[in-house]
Amino acid sequence: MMDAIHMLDRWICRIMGALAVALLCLLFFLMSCNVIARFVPVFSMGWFDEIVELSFAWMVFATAAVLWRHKAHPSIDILEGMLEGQRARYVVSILIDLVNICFLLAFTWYSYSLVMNASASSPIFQIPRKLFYVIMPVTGAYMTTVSLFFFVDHIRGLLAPGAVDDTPSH
Amino acid sequence: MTAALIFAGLIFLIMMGVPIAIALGAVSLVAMADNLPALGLMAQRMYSSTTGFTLLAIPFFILAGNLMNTGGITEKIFRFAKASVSHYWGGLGQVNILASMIFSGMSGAAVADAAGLGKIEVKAMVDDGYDPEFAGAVTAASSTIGPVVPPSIPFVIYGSLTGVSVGKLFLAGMVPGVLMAIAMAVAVNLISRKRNYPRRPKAGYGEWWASFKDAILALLTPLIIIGGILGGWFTPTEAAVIACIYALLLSTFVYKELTWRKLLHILEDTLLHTVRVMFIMATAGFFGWVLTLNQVPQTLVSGLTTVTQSPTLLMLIMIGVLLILGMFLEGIAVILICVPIFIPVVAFIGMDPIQFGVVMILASMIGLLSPPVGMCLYAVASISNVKVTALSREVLPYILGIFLVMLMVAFIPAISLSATYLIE
Repeated sequence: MMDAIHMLDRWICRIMGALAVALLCLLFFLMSCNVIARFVPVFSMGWFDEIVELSFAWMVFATAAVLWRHKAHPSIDILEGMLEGQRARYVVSILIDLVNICFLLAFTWYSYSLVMNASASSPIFQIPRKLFYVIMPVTGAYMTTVSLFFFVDHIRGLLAPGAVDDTPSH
Repeated sequence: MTAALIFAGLIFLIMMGVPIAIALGAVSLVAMADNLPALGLMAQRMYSSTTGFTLLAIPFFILAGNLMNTGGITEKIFRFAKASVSHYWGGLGQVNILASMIFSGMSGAAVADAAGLGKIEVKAMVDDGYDPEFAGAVTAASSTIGPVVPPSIPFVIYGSLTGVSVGKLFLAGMVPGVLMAIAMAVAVNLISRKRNYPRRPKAGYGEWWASFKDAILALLTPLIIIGGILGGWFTPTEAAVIACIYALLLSTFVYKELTWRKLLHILEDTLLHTVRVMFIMATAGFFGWVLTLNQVPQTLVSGLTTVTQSPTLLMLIMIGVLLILGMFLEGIAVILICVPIFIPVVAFIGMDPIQFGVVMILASMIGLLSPPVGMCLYAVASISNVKVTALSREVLPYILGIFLVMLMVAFIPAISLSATYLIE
């Protein structure tokens, strides 16, 4: 069961990582075309803004989820460093996990509401606003799930007899 | 009271180790606990804080810096700087500063400079007989010129938060950036005389010309970026894309050092550094909105003005807060937290927000060099194998230099604002 979850997790991370790289390349291409079109106006790029906004938002939130999985979002690890190798570090990690889970749950819920309530479409391609926003609840749900696994790991560590924390810092 | 609780909660969560982005979001959630219907706008606020067109400059300036680091361009800049100034006291220290100054005109991030160009600089200095602590300190300090001299990622963020022209902010950073370099060069000179560090013989004209020819295409990058913005040909965001295209062409077709594998690594690294900032921006957008809703900036302004009405004292208080926060938070986080609070104070004392932007970025550069959370100290410590504590002692003269430049910028508006009149 855990092997299947780990494999699924690896695939989700790979797909989101590849998607983010592809979107960065697309943004680079679009921005380059936009500059060229200004000096050599042989083609119109009126649709440019909506594709750029969509790509940028998806790139940011997809990468944020991958970074979350790898605990790579910036944080101050002074306290965790001071408690290195002590059981108390688990307690701090558990508290941090709880704060993370609370915020991510709220983020997932309110971004889901935003998707559900969005009814407009983009002016040129008629892309529904829902599509712009949907990346937020999706990545929010993924980050919440990952945080729950971190939380369970830390609880296990705290309860394990004689164990010391070897969790990498954020 | 609400303001005090919000900030106490924020500092507590951050010091506990909660990721900065989440800490900003979590205190905002708690502050809104009595106004749940308004929380419906939380996701909207986070979304709109990360999708502004100006912010697109961030990934592209990071990408440009990474392409220059990997594409062999930094080595050529270093060789040129070496042929130009290594005969002065503290030879390679001066080279270090000049190379960072040139690199600053291509990349907008201090850590990109410290981690990329820094590797070459530290190795060359240690091989030449300099103490690793001195080499590391000069490298860390000179890397902070990057975000002050245009292009600059912190200026892009400040501009997007305040609505101030990013082009004007870029220009406002030019003179203070040069002053920083001069202050550091003086410090290197004095320390080198005292410790009797080696001086190199002056490079012959032929050697200098060869290094110049080798680096000329790379040296054109800042001219293209600044010239393009000044000439009104492109916006700062487009300038970032132009810098990327130029760096890509140079490293692929001229210097031929870029492979597909390296390019993929560069793209992944760019995403990592971009989104570490952007996710904080997302929750900081929500945080700023919550502060406004709770009238925190107004409360702080009235609180501060009951303490003093003197613009000088208010400015010094803000600088003090920026420096203290900079010791514990990343520079970008300090900017994101302080801008919504300080901008009303800046308006109250009648200061130009462009001038204040430069002060704020200079203060955050001091933060990058201050323990316990100086990002540049850690980046250089990891490439130079010097302990952070030793590095933080050695870097003090350069911090003093930046501090003096910051005070000059804070109290002499012409230093930052004179260049901004070059564009409308």
